[in-house]
Amino acid sequence: MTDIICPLCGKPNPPDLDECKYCQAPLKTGGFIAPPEGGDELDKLISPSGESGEPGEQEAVASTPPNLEQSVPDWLKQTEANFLDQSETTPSKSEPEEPGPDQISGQIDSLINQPPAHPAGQDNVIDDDWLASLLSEAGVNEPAQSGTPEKSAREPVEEPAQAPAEEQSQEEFPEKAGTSAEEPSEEEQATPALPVEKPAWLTSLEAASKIKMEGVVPPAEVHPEQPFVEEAAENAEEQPPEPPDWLKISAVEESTSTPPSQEAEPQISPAELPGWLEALRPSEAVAPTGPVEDVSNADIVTAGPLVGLRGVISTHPSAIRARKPPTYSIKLRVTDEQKARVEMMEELLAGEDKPTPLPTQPIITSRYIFRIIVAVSLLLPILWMIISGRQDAALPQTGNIPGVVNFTQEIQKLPTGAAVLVAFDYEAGFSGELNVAINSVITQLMNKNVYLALVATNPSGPALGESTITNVYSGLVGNTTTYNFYTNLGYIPGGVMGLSGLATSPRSVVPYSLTSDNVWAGAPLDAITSIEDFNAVIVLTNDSDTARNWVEQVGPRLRQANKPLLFVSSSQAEPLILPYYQATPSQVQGLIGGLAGGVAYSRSVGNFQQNGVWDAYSIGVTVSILIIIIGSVAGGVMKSIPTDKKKEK
Amino acid sequence: MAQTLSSAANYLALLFILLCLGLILFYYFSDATREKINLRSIQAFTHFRRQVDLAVEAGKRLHISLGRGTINDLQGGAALISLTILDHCARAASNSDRPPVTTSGDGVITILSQDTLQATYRSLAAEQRYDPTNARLTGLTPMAFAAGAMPTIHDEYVSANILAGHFGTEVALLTEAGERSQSLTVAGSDSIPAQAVLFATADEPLLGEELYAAGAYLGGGAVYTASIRMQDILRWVLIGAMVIGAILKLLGILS
Amino acid sequence: MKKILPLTNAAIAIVSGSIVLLGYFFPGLLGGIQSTLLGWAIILAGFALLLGIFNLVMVHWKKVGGEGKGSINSIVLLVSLVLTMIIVSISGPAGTFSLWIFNSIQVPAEISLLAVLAFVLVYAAARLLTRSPKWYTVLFLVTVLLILLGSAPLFFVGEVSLLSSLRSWLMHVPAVAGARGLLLGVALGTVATGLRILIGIDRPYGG
Repeated sequence: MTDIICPLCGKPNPPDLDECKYCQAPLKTGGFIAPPEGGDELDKLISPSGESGEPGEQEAVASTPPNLEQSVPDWLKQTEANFLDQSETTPSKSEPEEPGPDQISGQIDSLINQPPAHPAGQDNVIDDDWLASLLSEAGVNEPAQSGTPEKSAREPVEEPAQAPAEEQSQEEFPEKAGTSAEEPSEEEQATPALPVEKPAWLTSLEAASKIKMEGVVPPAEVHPEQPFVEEAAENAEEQPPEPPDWLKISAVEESTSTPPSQEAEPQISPAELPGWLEALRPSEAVAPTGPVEDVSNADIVTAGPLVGLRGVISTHPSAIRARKPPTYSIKLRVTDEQKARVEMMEELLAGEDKPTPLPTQPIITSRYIFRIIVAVSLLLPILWMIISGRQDAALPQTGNIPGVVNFTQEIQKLPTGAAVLVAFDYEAGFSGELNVAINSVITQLMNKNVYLALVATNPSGPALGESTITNVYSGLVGNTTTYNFYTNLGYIPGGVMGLSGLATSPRSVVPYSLTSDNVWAGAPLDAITSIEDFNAVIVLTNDSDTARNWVEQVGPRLRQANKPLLFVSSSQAEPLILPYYQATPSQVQGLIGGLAGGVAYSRSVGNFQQNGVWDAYSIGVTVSILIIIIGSVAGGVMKSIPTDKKKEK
Repeated sequence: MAQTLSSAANYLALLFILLCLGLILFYYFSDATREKINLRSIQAFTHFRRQVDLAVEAGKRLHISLGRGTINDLQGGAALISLTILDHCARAASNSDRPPVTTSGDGVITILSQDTLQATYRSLAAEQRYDPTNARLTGLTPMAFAAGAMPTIHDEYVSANILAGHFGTEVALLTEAGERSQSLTVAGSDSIPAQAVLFATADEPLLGEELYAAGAYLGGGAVYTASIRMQDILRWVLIGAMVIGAILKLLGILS
Repeated sequence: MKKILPLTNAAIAIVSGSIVLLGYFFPGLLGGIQSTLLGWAIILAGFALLLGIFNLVMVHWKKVGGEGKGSINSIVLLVSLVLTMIIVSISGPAGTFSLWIFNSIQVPAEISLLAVLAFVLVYAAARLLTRSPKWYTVLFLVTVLLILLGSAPLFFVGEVSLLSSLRSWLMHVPAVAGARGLLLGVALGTVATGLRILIGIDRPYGG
């Protein structure tokens, strides 16, 4: 059952009513025919005559043929007659090229929907369609069309009983075009549009027609509704090519010729639009001259804000309405494990909403307390020993520490006034450990009146050497008199390469002293050209790598010249230097290692000062041992005690 | 006689170097077609890779300390390896909100670290992320270097410290700083005292030559794998030579 | 240019490295060039030191400009750097004021850091078994304790000769043997690293 949509309220009304039962608005003039309920686009495509039984529309269609027939010029009638004769006489010619009626239908549809810019061979099809639609408008209907290829092509899909009017066959093309434009079928996509054979008469007609250049089927809109005529006219304003005069006349007659039933209806007076809406309207100054787009067979919107309009995109696309949504079972087959995971996931998601407080780091932790205990345990006994100056711990014996005796002997062998190279290659932080030995060694050298040449391969070495010489000499003489029998050659950059250069040519590597004096020009360094010319080389270092550099770069030259290479090292470097001392032949001739070596050497030369350092060292070592044992045992016990967290794990 | 021995030792050393070079090239070209070479698992590198990813995810910073070994010295090998690790870290953390920061105790290494960072970002087409102040010289003496690097660990949202290069015992100050700031510390040094300290203080110490395997374990390429294979072969050669020498010495054949 | 420069860098590195290496084995043939290149390297190292100090200034200047909590420390550092440079420039590197700065500031600061290091090491050793309860950790701790026991006479106990002998044996045999083994591995690694750079496969110089 087809309802008529009220143009005012948009509600469906029975077709037998003249006025809307909701708002009493006249339906016959402005009403819209709603699409059949439950019908879909596919039905419309397959049976285009499905709505032919609509009385209102039948009236409208019936009223158009006489007018159109009058408007057709004579030459066109003649052309039509020729065409019909030719098509009747040559049906077998077109059969081989058009294998089946379905394909023909598809080809026609695809050809209609082709864009304007197409190969020339396809224009023939457009001409045919244009002519067919023109013929249908002109009322050349059933008898003539039944014999045409187009008609024969549609016969299998059309119901013969309905005997479609030409208008319906005409409406079918754009509708299919619209459908194919939205959802092109596979057949259309796969096969290109085949050119339809063009009759000879049409070739001559082609030149005379300008419409064919548009590539658009000229619509002969016969719909009675006034607004759509206006809309078509407005659209036509935008078409620059002029249609033929006969078509203009026809259009004018169409607009004026209305069926008697509609003439009786009162015209809807144009509404007064607000200024802003008036401004939005296209200019009416230009009269419609070109062919307009045929929207007569487009869908009418039946719902939403655009209700009642034709040819606009509906908010409820027909493609969606056409399909009944498939029904799926909402019952899922879930295993127990999946259920458990889902529950776990839900718990996690529920927990996401709850803000979790950031883990606060307590200022006082067990580690912090343990650190404090370690520091206090180490500091207090050491401070107590240094302040009290006690000497309870047994001093190390010279014979028990390897290298000290040999070191002492090598120093004693040095002649008075000899030149000795002393390398201050230790870090300032190790002064506390090394100063006991270094002070004793420098004192011994000063007492023997040895000329000291100070060098360093680390940046703080020159300052360390300078301050050591100053401090030792002031301790020796008891005043601030400057010691002059030495030179500070400064810092040697380049690490091992600089050291290699010093071994081969010391004058070129360190040409001037820190005071910018050319010390190589005066005695006793004027006799020195390479490193083996020094009577001895003493390296003061805390780093085993530095010691290795000296052994490898300088040691061979000294051994060749039978000159001693002596080391004063920290405890951490001693184990790695000791093999060089114990090697046969020894690469290091004397070694003082660590605080124990320094104390032993100081005692052997009679330079040891009783200042509580050795006792502080002793108690520091003892306390360290206790802390390590207690900490390890406590840690082991804590690890072995099962805590709640471990139990949970 | 001594001159002859010295020349013989020199030629032996040259032969050794050529052998190393030949092995590297051989394995480099022969392993080029192999899809994967199995390396024994080193936990420190596994944690290191994971920590780099976590740092990127958490938007935190990586701190790579290159040590204080100069390139002109014996520590040059460790310094160059640290640059390889820096390159890997910079690539892995290139998407991080905070680019990695490097500290070093030598001028040459500082410049090279800047160069490495810049080259890495350039190769990633992200040169705008390069900031020369992210490669820092923190001190010229060991203690000054450690003291200068400690604030970086504490204050710059560091999630992982990679200490690779030449360090002394001062490295314990850095590992302690890492522990206090609750950041992971992966550390390796060529110095023996430093390795002893790192065993006790670092979360993931790299001992011995493990530091030099960093390139292969971090996916550096075939040449790093070839280097490892060369080292493995020559290690066995050295072990064999030492054992044979000891036996000959015991038998009195070798004086 | 972007392609030429890395290739040039690589070529320079390969040629320079090869000459320096071969110079050790053929001093008569390549010794002169080797010395020249080493001299250049030393000069560049010194210049790199200056650049490093400039980098230090830049880093802390940037921190002063920021609002970080270390900005005060950076100000102190910059002021100290400038003052030291001025004083050393006037007084000379071996001058009285220069040595006063060195002996009064740098030496105590470094000794303090070393003292902190001692605390750290004792603390770490005490926690070692808690952190890593493995058999080799126990072995490590036992060795540490034996070395400490033999390195100085124990307070209230005195020197135990057996412990001193044990310490001496540990230091001279197992420790040195292990260290030698590690050093051999390190040397092999260093050789491999150097060769990679020498043949231009590994280019850590931005090539």
